[in-house]
Amino acid sequence: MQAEEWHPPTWDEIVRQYTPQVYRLAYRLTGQVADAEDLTQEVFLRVFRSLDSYTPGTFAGWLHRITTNLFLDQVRRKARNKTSALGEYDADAPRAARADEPERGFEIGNLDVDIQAALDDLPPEYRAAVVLRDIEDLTYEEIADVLDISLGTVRSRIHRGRARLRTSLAHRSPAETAASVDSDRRGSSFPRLTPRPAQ
Amino acid sequence: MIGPFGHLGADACAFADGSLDEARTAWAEAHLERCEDCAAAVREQRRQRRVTGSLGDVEVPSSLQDRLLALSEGRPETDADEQDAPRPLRGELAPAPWAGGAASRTRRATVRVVAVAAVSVLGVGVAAGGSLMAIGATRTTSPERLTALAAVAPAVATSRVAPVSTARADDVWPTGWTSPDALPDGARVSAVHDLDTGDLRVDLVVDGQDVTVLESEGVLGLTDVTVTRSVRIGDLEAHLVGSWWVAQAGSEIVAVTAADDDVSLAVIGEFDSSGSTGVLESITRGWQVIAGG
Repeated sequence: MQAEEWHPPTWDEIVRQYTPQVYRLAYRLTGQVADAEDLTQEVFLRVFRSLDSYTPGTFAGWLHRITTNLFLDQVRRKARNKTSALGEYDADAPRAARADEPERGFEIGNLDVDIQAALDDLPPEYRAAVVLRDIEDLTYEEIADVLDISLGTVRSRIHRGRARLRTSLAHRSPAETAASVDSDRRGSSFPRLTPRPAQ
Repeated sequence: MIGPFGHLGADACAFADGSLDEARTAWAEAHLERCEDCAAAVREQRRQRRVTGSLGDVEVPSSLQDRLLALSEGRPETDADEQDAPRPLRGELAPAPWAGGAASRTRRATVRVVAVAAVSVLGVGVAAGGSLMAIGATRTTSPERLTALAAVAPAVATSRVAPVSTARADDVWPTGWTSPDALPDGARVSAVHDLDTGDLRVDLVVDGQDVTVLESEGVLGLTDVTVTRSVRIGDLEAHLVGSWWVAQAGSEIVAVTAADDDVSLAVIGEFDSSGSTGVLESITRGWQVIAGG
Protein backbone atom coordinates (compact mmCIF):
# COMPACT_ATOMS: atom_id res chain seq x y z
CA MET A 1 0.00 0.00 0.00
CA GLN A 2 2.75 2.44 0.86
CA ALA A 3 4.69 2.34 -2.43
CA GLU A 4 2.00 3.73 -4.67
CA GLU A 5 2.38 7.09 -6.37
CA TRP A 6 -0.80 8.42 -4.90
CA HIS A 7 -3.18 6.91 -2.50
CA PRO A 8 -5.96 8.08 -0.29
CA PRO A 9 -5.18 8.26 3.40
CA THR A 10 -4.23 4.91 4.83
CA TRP A 11 -6.78 3.04 6.81
CA ASP A 12 -4.77 3.64 9.94
CA GLU A 13 -4.83 7.37 9.32
CA ILE A 14 -8.55 7.39 8.72
CA VAL A 15 -9.29 5.34 11.80
CA ARG A 16 -7.05 7.36 14.07
CA GLN A 17 -8.21 10.70 12.77
CA TYR A 18 -11.94 10.10 12.67
CA THR A 19 -12.70 7.58 15.37
CA PRO A 20 -12.96 10.21 18.12
CA GLN A 21 -15.46 12.22 16.09
CA VAL A 22 -17.58 9.25 15.09
CA TYR A 23 -17.51 7.68 18.52
CA ARG A 24 -18.39 10.93 20.27
CA LEU A 25 -21.39 11.43 18.00
CA ALA A 26 -22.37 7.76 18.35
CA TYR A 27 -22.14 7.94 22.11
CA ARG A 28 -24.13 11.14 22.40
CA LEU A 29 -26.80 9.71 20.12
CA THR A 30 -27.07 6.27 21.70
CA GLY A 31 -26.13 7.16 25.26
CA GLN A 32 -24.58 3.74 25.74
CA VAL A 33 -21.01 2.58 25.38
CA ALA A 34 -21.89 -0.77 23.80
CA ASP A 35 -24.33 0.77 21.35
CA ALA A 36 -21.90 3.54 20.52
CA GLU A 37 -19.21 0.95 19.78
CA ASP A 38 -21.57 -1.01 17.57
CA LEU A 39 -22.63 2.10 15.73
CA THR A 40 -19.07 3.31 15.28
CA GLN A 41 -18.06 -0.08 13.95
CA GLU A 42 -20.89 -0.08 11.45
CA VAL A 43 -19.93 3.38 10.29
CA PHE A 44 -16.34 2.38 9.68
CA LEU A 45 -17.42 -0.79 7.96
CA ARG A 46 -19.25 1.37 5.46
CA VAL A 47 -16.33 3.72 5.19
CA PHE A 48 -14.05 0.80 4.43
CA ARG A 49 -16.36 -0.41 1.70
CA SER A 50 -16.46 3.00 0.14
CA LEU A 51 -12.82 3.98 0.18
CA ASP A 52 -12.89 4.14 -3.58
CA SER A 53 -15.17 7.12 -3.45
CA TYR A 54 -13.15 8.93 -0.82
CA THR A 55 -13.15 12.63 -1.51
CA PRO A 56 -10.97 14.90 0.57
CA GLY A 57 -12.86 17.66 2.29
CA THR A 58 -16.21 15.95 2.44
CA PHE A 59 -15.22 13.19 4.77
CA ALA A 60 -16.24 14.63 8.11
CA GLY A 61 -19.66 15.60 6.82
CA TRP A 62 -20.09 12.23 5.28
CA LEU A 63 -19.30 10.56 8.60
CA HIS A 64 -21.87 12.72 10.34
CA ARG A 65 -24.42 11.66 7.78
CA ILE A 66 -23.66 7.95 7.98
CA THR A 67 -23.50 7.89 11.75
CA THR A 68 -26.69 9.83 12.31
CA ASN A 69 -28.72 8.03 9.72
CA LEU A 70 -27.57 4.59 10.81
CA PHE A 71 -28.61 5.53 14.30
CA LEU A 72 -32.02 6.76 13.20
CA ASP A 73 -32.52 3.69 11.02
CA GLN A 74 -31.85 1.45 13.98
CA VAL A 75 -34.17 3.39 16.20
CA ARG A 76 -36.96 3.29 13.66
CA ARG A 77 -36.49 -0.37 13.03
CA LYS A 78 -36.61 -1.09 16.72
CA ALA A 79 -39.75 0.92 17.04
CA ARG A 80 -41.33 -1.06 14.26
CA ASN A 81 -40.37 -4.32 15.88
CA LYS A 82 -41.71 -3.14 19.17
CA THR A 83 -38.56 -4.27 20.83
CA SER A 84 -38.42 -1.48 23.28
CA ALA A 85 -38.17 -3.79 26.24
CA LEU A 86 -34.61 -2.70 26.72
CA GLY A 87 -35.63 0.89 26.65
CA GLU A 88 -32.35 1.99 25.20
CA TYR A 89 -33.83 3.95 22.39
CA ASP A 90 -37.24 4.35 23.85
CA ALA A 91 -37.86 8.04 23.86
CA ASP A 92 -41.18 7.62 25.56
CA ALA A 93 -39.77 6.00 28.64
CA PRO A 94 -37.65 8.48 30.51
CA ARG A 95 -35.38 6.95 33.05
CA ALA A 96 -33.38 8.38 35.85
CA ALA A 97 -29.74 9.06 35.33
CA ARG A 98 -27.52 6.82 37.33
CA ALA A 99 -24.07 8.09 38.01
CA ASP A 100 -22.91 4.63 39.01
CA GLU A 101 -23.97 3.11 35.73
CA PRO A 102 -20.91 1.22 34.51
CA GLU A 103 -21.76 2.05 30.94
CA ARG A 104 -21.00 5.62 31.74
CA GLY A 105 -17.99 5.10 33.86
CA PHE A 106 -15.99 7.74 32.10
CA GLU A 107 -18.48 10.51 32.60
CA ILE A 108 -17.20 13.07 34.99
CA GLY A 109 -19.70 13.79 37.64
CA ASN A 110 -23.43 13.66 37.78
CA LEU A 111 -24.03 16.65 35.60
CA ASP A 112 -22.65 15.13 32.43
CA VAL A 113 -24.69 12.06 33.26
CA ASP A 114 -27.78 14.18 33.75
CA ILE A 115 -27.33 15.97 30.47
CA GLN A 116 -26.78 12.74 28.61
CA ALA A 117 -29.79 11.19 30.31
CA ALA A 118 -31.88 14.18 29.27
CA LEU A 119 -30.62 13.76 25.72
CA ASP A 120 -31.54 10.08 25.85
CA ASP A 121 -35.07 11.03 26.77
CA LEU A 122 -35.52 13.21 23.71
CA PRO A 123 -37.23 11.75 20.67
CA PRO A 124 -34.38 10.49 18.48
CA GLU A 125 -35.02 13.02 15.71
CA TYR A 126 -34.81 15.92 18.17
CA ARG A 127 -31.77 14.39 19.81
CA ALA A 128 -29.98 14.09 16.48
CA ALA A 129 -30.64 17.72 15.58
CA VAL A 130 -29.57 19.03 18.98
CA VAL A 131 -26.44 16.89 19.15
CA LEU A 132 -25.38 17.87 15.64
CA ARG A 133 -25.89 21.52 16.48
CA ASP A 134 -24.77 21.88 20.07
CA ILE A 135 -22.10 19.20 20.31
CA GLU A 136 -20.89 18.80 16.76
CA ASP A 137 -21.25 22.48 15.90
CA LEU A 138 -22.85 21.89 12.54
CA THR A 139 -24.67 24.77 10.91
CA TYR A 140 -28.39 24.62 10.35
CA GLU A 141 -27.75 24.12 6.66
CA GLU A 142 -25.41 21.23 7.33
CA ILE A 143 -27.93 19.62 9.65
CA ALA A 144 -30.65 19.98 7.04
CA ASP A 145 -28.34 18.23 4.63
CA VAL A 146 -27.35 15.44 7.01
CA LEU A 147 -30.90 14.70 8.06
CA ASP A 148 -32.42 15.47 4.67
CA ILE A 149 -35.01 17.78 6.16
CA SER A 150 -35.91 21.42 5.56
CA LEU A 151 -34.30 24.32 7.40
CA GLY A 152 -37.64 25.02 9.03
CA THR A 153 -37.77 21.50 10.38
CA VAL A 154 -34.20 21.80 11.63
CA ARG A 155 -35.14 24.96 13.53
CA SER A 156 -38.23 23.38 14.94
CA ARG A 157 -36.41 20.28 16.15
CA ILE A 158 -33.56 22.18 17.73
CA HIS A 159 -35.92 24.65 19.33
CA ARG A 160 -38.18 22.00 20.80
CA GLY A 161 -35.30 19.72 21.64
CA ARG A 162 -33.54 22.39 23.68
CA ALA A 163 -36.76 23.40 25.39
CA ARG A 164 -37.40 19.79 26.38
CA LEU A 165 -33.85 19.40 27.61
CA ARG A 166 -34.24 22.42 29.83
CA THR A 167 -37.44 21.11 31.31
CA SER A 168 -35.95 17.69 31.78
CA LEU A 169 -32.77 18.99 33.39
CA ALA A 170 -34.69 21.31 35.66
CA HIS A 171 -36.40 18.24 37.07
CA ARG A 172 -33.26 16.21 37.31
CA SER A 173 -30.92 18.38 39.28
CA PRO A 174 -32.86 21.03 41.13
CA ALA A 175 -30.32 21.24 43.93
CA GLU A 176 -27.20 21.82 41.91
CA THR A 177 -25.64 25.20 41.95
CA ALA A 178 -25.32 27.10 38.75
CA ALA A 179 -21.94 27.64 37.27
CA SER A 180 -21.15 29.80 34.34
CA VAL A 181 -19.63 28.15 31.39
CA ASP A 182 -17.99 29.58 28.33
CA SER A 183 -19.79 28.99 25.11
CA ASP A 184 -16.85 27.06 23.74
CA ARG A 185 -15.85 24.69 26.46
CA ARG A 186 -15.92 21.59 24.37
CA GLY A 187 -12.50 20.20 23.78
CA SER A 188 -11.11 21.40 27.05
CA SER A 189 -9.87 18.76 29.38
CA PHE A 190 -11.53 17.14 32.34
CA PRO A 191 -12.60 18.00 34.89
CA ARG A 192 -15.03 20.67 34.02
CA LEU A 193 -17.93 22.47 35.54
CA THR A 194 -21.27 22.00 33.98
CA PRO A 195 -23.93 24.59 34.54
CA ARG A 196 -27.26 23.81 36.02
CA PRO A 197 -30.16 25.11 33.98
CA ALA A 198 -31.97 28.05 35.43
CA GLN A 199 -35.23 27.33 37.15
CA MET B 1 -42.22 30.84 9.51
CA ILE B 2 -43.91 33.17 11.92
CA GLY B 3 -45.11 36.36 10.34
CA PRO B 4 -43.58 39.75 11.14
CA PHE B 5 -46.37 40.59 13.55
CA GLY B 6 -46.10 37.36 15.47
CA HIS B 7 -43.46 36.11 17.87
CA LEU B 8 -40.18 34.39 17.22
CA GLY B 9 -41.52 30.91 17.81
CA ALA B 10 -39.13 28.25 16.60
CA ASP B 11 -36.89 30.99 15.22
CA ALA B 12 -35.76 31.73 18.77
CA CYS B 13 -33.13 29.03 18.41
CA ALA B 14 -32.00 30.22 15.00
CA PHE B 15 -31.76 33.77 16.33
CA ALA B 16 -29.84 32.59 19.36
CA ASP B 17 -27.45 30.78 17.03
CA GLY B 18 -27.15 33.69 14.61
CA SER B 19 -28.65 31.57 11.87
CA LEU B 20 -31.46 33.85 10.74
CA ASP B 21 -31.11 35.87 7.59
CA GLU B 22 -30.49 39.58 7.81
CA ALA B 23 -34.04 40.82 7.44
CA ARG B 24 -35.45 38.33 9.88
CA THR B 25 -32.66 39.08 12.35
CA ALA B 26 -33.41 42.80 12.19
CA TRP B 27 -37.07 42.15 12.78
CA ALA B 28 -36.26 39.78 15.66
CA GLU B 29 -33.98 42.31 17.36
CA ALA B 30 -36.68 44.95 17.26
CA HIS B 31 -39.27 42.49 18.47
CA LEU B 32 -37.13 41.29 21.36
CA GLU B 33 -36.93 44.80 22.77
CA ARG B 34 -40.63 44.81 23.42
CA CYS B 35 -41.38 41.11 23.94
CA GLU B 36 -40.06 39.67 27.16
CA ASP B 37 -41.42 36.21 26.39
CA CYS B 38 -39.42 35.93 23.21
CA ALA B 39 -36.36 37.43 24.87
CA ALA B 40 -36.61 34.81 27.60
CA ALA B 41 -36.99 32.09 24.98
CA VAL B 42 -33.83 33.26 23.25
CA ARG B 43 -31.94 33.30 26.56
CA GLU B 44 -33.12 29.80 27.31
CA GLN B 45 -32.03 28.59 23.92
CA ARG B 46 -28.58 30.05 24.41
CA ARG B 47 -28.25 28.68 27.88
CA GLN B 48 -29.29 25.21 26.86
CA ARG B 49 -26.90 25.28 23.94
CA ARG B 50 -24.08 25.97 26.37
CA VAL B 51 -25.24 23.26 28.74
CA THR B 52 -25.36 20.59 26.06
CA GLY B 53 -22.17 21.88 24.49
CA SER B 54 -20.40 21.58 27.81
CA LEU B 55 -20.60 17.79 27.68
CA GLY B 56 -17.14 16.41 27.88
CA ASP B 57 -15.41 14.54 25.14
CA VAL B 58 -15.75 10.83 25.36
CA GLU B 59 -12.91 8.42 25.50
CA VAL B 60 -12.66 5.95 22.65
CA PRO B 61 -12.24 2.44 24.05
CA SER B 62 -8.89 1.14 22.84
CA SER B 63 -10.43 -2.21 22.00
CA LEU B 64 -12.77 -0.43 19.62
CA GLN B 65 -9.95 1.30 17.82
CA ASP B 66 -8.15 -2.03 17.49
CA ARG B 67 -11.21 -3.57 15.90
CA LEU B 68 -11.56 -0.68 13.50
CA LEU B 69 -7.93 -0.89 12.50
CA ALA B 70 -8.35 -4.63 11.94
CA LEU B 71 -11.04 -3.99 9.36
CA SER B 72 -8.35 -3.31 6.79
CA GLU B 73 -6.77 -6.69 7.33
CA GLY B 74 -9.61 -8.14 5.40
CA ARG B 75 -10.41 -10.91 7.77
CA PRO B 76 -11.03 -11.55 11.39
CA GLU B 77 -8.06 -11.69 13.64
CA THR B 78 -8.68 -15.28 14.69
CA ASP B 79 -8.26 -16.46 11.14
CA ALA B 80 -4.62 -15.47 11.12
CA ASP B 81 -3.49 -19.06 10.99
CA GLU B 82 -5.43 -19.79 7.84
CA GLN B 83 -3.27 -19.96 4.79
CA ASP B 84 -5.86 -19.74 2.10
CA ALA B 85 -8.64 -17.67 3.44
CA PRO B 86 -10.46 -15.82 0.70
CA ARG B 87 -9.13 -12.30 0.57
CA PRO B 88 -11.35 -9.37 -0.20
CA LEU B 89 -10.66 -7.52 -3.38
CA ARG B 90 -8.88 -4.26 -3.01
CA GLY B 91 -11.29 -1.69 -1.76
CA GLU B 92 -13.81 -4.34 -1.08
CA LEU B 93 -15.43 -5.29 2.12
CA ALA B 94 -13.60 -6.80 4.98
CA PRO B 95 -15.67 -9.21 6.98
CA ALA B 96 -17.59 -7.57 9.72
CA PRO B 97 -15.38 -7.76 12.74
CA TRP B 98 -18.03 -9.60 14.64
CA ALA B 99 -18.61 -12.06 11.82
CA GLY B 100 -15.50 -14.07 12.48
CA GLY B 101 -15.83 -14.25 16.18
CA ALA B 102 -12.59 -12.41 16.77
CA ALA B 103 -14.22 -9.41 18.21
CA SER B 104 -16.86 -11.03 20.27
CA ARG B 105 -18.74 -8.62 22.38
CA THR B 106 -19.47 -8.97 25.98
CA ARG B 107 -22.73 -7.16 25.69
CA ARG B 108 -25.07 -7.18 22.80
CA ALA B 109 -28.38 -6.20 24.17
CA THR B 110 -29.52 -4.56 20.98
CA VAL B 111 -29.17 -7.84 19.21
CA ARG B 112 -30.89 -10.13 21.57
CA VAL B 113 -34.20 -8.48 21.07
CA VAL B 114 -34.10 -9.04 17.35
CA ALA B 115 -33.08 -12.63 17.90
CA VAL B 116 -36.03 -13.17 20.16
CA ALA B 117 -38.35 -11.71 17.58
CA ALA B 118 -36.86 -14.02 15.02
CA VAL B 119 -37.48 -17.08 17.13
CA SER B 120 -41.05 -16.12 17.65
CA VAL B 121 -41.60 -15.87 13.93
CA LEU B 122 -40.37 -19.40 13.55
CA GLY B 123 -42.58 -20.50 16.32
CA VAL B 124 -39.92 -22.26 18.30
CA GLY B 125 -38.30 -21.63 21.58
CA VAL B 126 -34.90 -23.15 21.57
CA ALA B 127 -34.31 -25.64 18.82
CA ALA B 128 -31.33 -27.86 18.36
CA GLY B 129 -28.85 -26.28 16.04
CA GLY B 130 -27.98 -28.02 12.88
CA SER B 131 -25.71 -27.25 10.05
CA LEU B 132 -24.74 -28.46 6.67
CA MET B 133 -21.07 -28.91 6.28
CA ALA B 134 -19.40 -29.37 2.96
CA ILE B 135 -16.59 -31.79 3.43
CA GLY B 136 -13.27 -30.66 2.18
CA ALA B 137 -14.59 -28.52 -0.60
CA THR B 138 -12.69 -25.28 -0.59
CA ARG B 139 -14.27 -22.74 -2.81
CA THR B 140 -13.50 -19.13 -3.21
CA THR B 141 -15.99 -16.66 -4.43
CA SER B 142 -15.58 -13.17 -5.69
CA PRO B 143 -17.75 -10.76 -3.75
CA GLU B 144 -19.70 -9.64 -6.76
CA ARG B 145 -21.00 -13.11 -7.37
CA LEU B 146 -23.41 -12.83 -4.50
CA THR B 147 -25.36 -10.04 -6.08
CA ALA B 148 -25.40 -11.98 -9.29
CA LEU B 149 -26.80 -14.90 -7.36
CA ALA B 150 -29.37 -12.71 -5.80
CA ALA B 151 -30.30 -10.97 -9.02
CA VAL B 152 -31.10 -14.00 -11.14
CA ALA B 153 -32.09 -17.51 -10.40
CA PRO B 154 -28.94 -19.48 -11.23
CA ALA B 155 -29.05 -22.61 -13.31
CA VAL B 156 -29.61 -25.67 -11.29
CA ALA B 157 -27.20 -28.54 -11.70
CA THR B 158 -29.05 -30.97 -9.54
CA SER B 159 -32.16 -30.62 -7.52
CA ARG B 160 -33.75 -32.80 -4.99
CA VAL B 161 -37.28 -31.77 -4.60
CA ALA B 162 -39.01 -33.64 -1.88
CA PRO B 163 -40.78 -31.87 0.87
CA VAL B 164 -39.14 -32.88 4.07
CA SER B 165 -40.27 -32.07 7.49
CA THR B 166 -37.50 -34.00 9.10
CA ALA B 167 -34.11 -32.62 8.47
CA ARG B 168 -32.54 -36.03 8.63
CA ALA B 169 -33.40 -36.91 5.10
CA ASP B 170 -29.93 -37.42 3.80
CA ASP B 171 -31.00 -38.24 0.29
CA VAL B 172 -32.29 -34.73 -0.08
CA TRP B 173 -29.00 -33.03 0.48
CA PRO B 174 -26.32 -32.86 -2.17
CA THR B 175 -23.46 -35.30 -1.91
CA GLY B 176 -20.75 -34.15 0.37
CA TRP B 177 -23.03 -32.25 2.61
CA THR B 178 -24.18 -33.27 5.97
CA SER B 179 -27.73 -32.54 6.83
CA PRO B 180 -28.95 -30.33 9.59
CA ASP B 181 -29.92 -32.03 12.77
CA ALA B 182 -33.29 -30.45 13.07
CA LEU B 183 -35.59 -27.94 11.57
CA PRO B 184 -37.61 -25.57 13.67
CA ASP B 185 -41.28 -26.19 14.01
CA GLY B 186 -43.14 -24.48 11.27
CA ALA B 187 -40.23 -24.71 8.86
CA ARG B 188 -39.64 -27.33 6.21
CA VAL B 189 -37.36 -27.72 3.26
CA SER B 190 -39.18 -27.90 -0.03
CA ALA B 191 -36.17 -28.21 -2.29
CA VAL B 192 -32.41 -28.21 -2.24
CA HIS B 193 -30.49 -27.17 -5.31
CA ASP B 194 -26.84 -27.80 -5.93
CA LEU B 195 -26.18 -24.96 -8.31
CA ASP B 196 -23.78 -25.25 -11.19
CA THR B 197 -22.04 -22.23 -9.82
CA GLY B 198 -21.00 -24.37 -6.90
CA ASP B 199 -23.40 -22.67 -4.58
CA LEU B 200 -26.33 -23.96 -2.69
CA ARG B 201 -29.92 -22.93 -2.89
CA VAL B 202 -32.44 -24.10 -0.35
CA ASP B 203 -36.13 -23.47 -0.69
CA LEU B 204 -37.96 -23.36 2.57
CA VAL B 205 -41.48 -22.96 3.72
CA VAL B 206 -41.64 -21.16 7.01
CA ASP B 207 -45.06 -20.81 8.55
CA GLY B 208 -46.56 -21.31 5.12
CA GLN B 209 -44.38 -18.68 3.49
CA ASP B 210 -41.85 -19.45 0.78
CA VAL B 211 -38.30 -18.55 1.63
CA THR B 212 -35.34 -18.84 -0.68
CA VAL B 213 -31.86 -19.16 0.71
CA LEU B 214 -28.66 -18.86 -1.29
CA GLU B 215 -25.31 -19.71 0.16
CA SER B 216 -21.91 -19.06 -1.20
CA GLU B 217 -18.45 -19.03 0.15
CA GLY B 218 -16.69 -15.74 -0.02
CA VAL B 219 -16.52 -12.25 1.25
CA LEU B 220 -19.52 -10.03 0.99
CA GLY B 221 -18.94 -6.95 -1.11
CA LEU B 222 -21.48 -4.18 -1.07
CA THR B 223 -19.58 -1.44 -2.84
CA ASP B 224 -21.58 -1.45 -6.01
CA VAL B 225 -24.97 -2.24 -4.65
CA THR B 226 -27.53 -0.17 -2.87
CA VAL B 227 -28.09 -1.21 0.69
CA THR B 228 -31.46 0.05 1.79
CA ARG B 229 -31.31 -1.20 5.34
CA SER B 230 -28.88 -2.86 7.70
CA VAL B 231 -29.64 -4.64 10.93
CA ARG B 232 -27.81 -6.83 13.35
CA ILE B 233 -29.17 -10.24 14.17
CA GLY B 234 -27.28 -12.34 16.58
CA ASP B 235 -23.67 -12.01 15.53
CA LEU B 236 -24.57 -11.17 11.97
CA GLU B 237 -25.00 -7.92 10.18
CA ALA B 238 -27.70 -8.30 7.57
CA HIS B 239 -28.13 -5.89 4.68
CA LEU B 240 -31.15 -5.45 2.48
CA VAL B 241 -30.16 -5.36 -1.19
CA GLY B 242 -33.17 -5.23 -3.43
CA SER B 243 -35.48 -7.84 -2.00
CA TRP B 244 -32.63 -9.93 -0.61
CA TRP B 245 -31.24 -9.86 2.87
CA VAL B 246 -27.57 -10.69 2.68
CA ALA B 247 -25.07 -11.36 5.40
CA GLN B 248 -21.56 -12.52 5.95
CA ALA B 249 -21.75 -15.60 8.13
CA GLY B 250 -18.22 -16.54 8.95
CA SER B 251 -16.60 -17.36 5.63
CA GLU B 252 -19.94 -17.71 3.92
CA ILE B 253 -22.28 -15.32 2.24
CA VAL B 254 -25.94 -15.92 2.82
CA ALA B 255 -28.79 -14.35 0.89
CA VAL B 256 -32.39 -14.81 1.93
CA THR B 257 -35.59 -13.57 0.44
CA ALA B 258 -39.20 -13.96 1.49
CA ALA B 259 -42.37 -11.96 1.14
CA ASP B 260 -42.05 -10.80 4.70
CA ASP B 261 -38.83 -9.18 5.86
CA ASP B 262 -39.32 -10.51 9.34
CA VAL B 263 -39.33 -14.04 8.02
CA SER B 264 -36.18 -13.39 6.01
CA LEU B 265 -34.50 -12.00 9.06
CA ALA B 266 -35.67 -14.89 11.18
CA VAL B 267 -34.08 -17.31 8.75
CA ILE B 268 -30.88 -15.35 8.40
CA GLY B 269 -30.74 -15.21 12.15
CA GLU B 270 -30.43 -18.98 12.18
CA PHE B 271 -26.98 -18.69 10.72
CA ASP B 272 -24.19 -17.91 13.04
CA SER B 273 -20.94 -16.19 12.56
CA SER B 274 -19.11 -19.48 12.99
CA GLY B 275 -17.11 -17.76 15.60
CA SER B 276 -17.82 -20.43 18.15
CA THR B 277 -16.46 -23.23 16.05
CA GLY B 278 -13.66 -21.14 14.65
CA VAL B 279 -10.92 -23.30 13.29
CA LEU B 280 -13.03 -26.28 12.39
CA GLU B 281 -15.38 -24.09 10.51
CA SER B 282 -12.56 -22.46 8.65
CA ILE B 283 -10.82 -25.67 7.74
CA THR B 284 -13.85 -27.38 6.39
CA ARG B 285 -15.04 -24.29 4.64
CA GLY B 286 -18.37 -25.49 5.68
CA TRP B 287 -21.57 -24.12 4.46
CA GLN B 288 -24.11 -23.67 7.07
CA VAL B 289 -27.67 -24.09 6.20
CA ILE B 290 -30.51 -22.88 8.20
CA ALA B 291 -31.82 -25.65 10.19
CA GLY B 292 -32.59 -24.75 13.70
CA GLY B 293 -32.12 -22.23 16.37
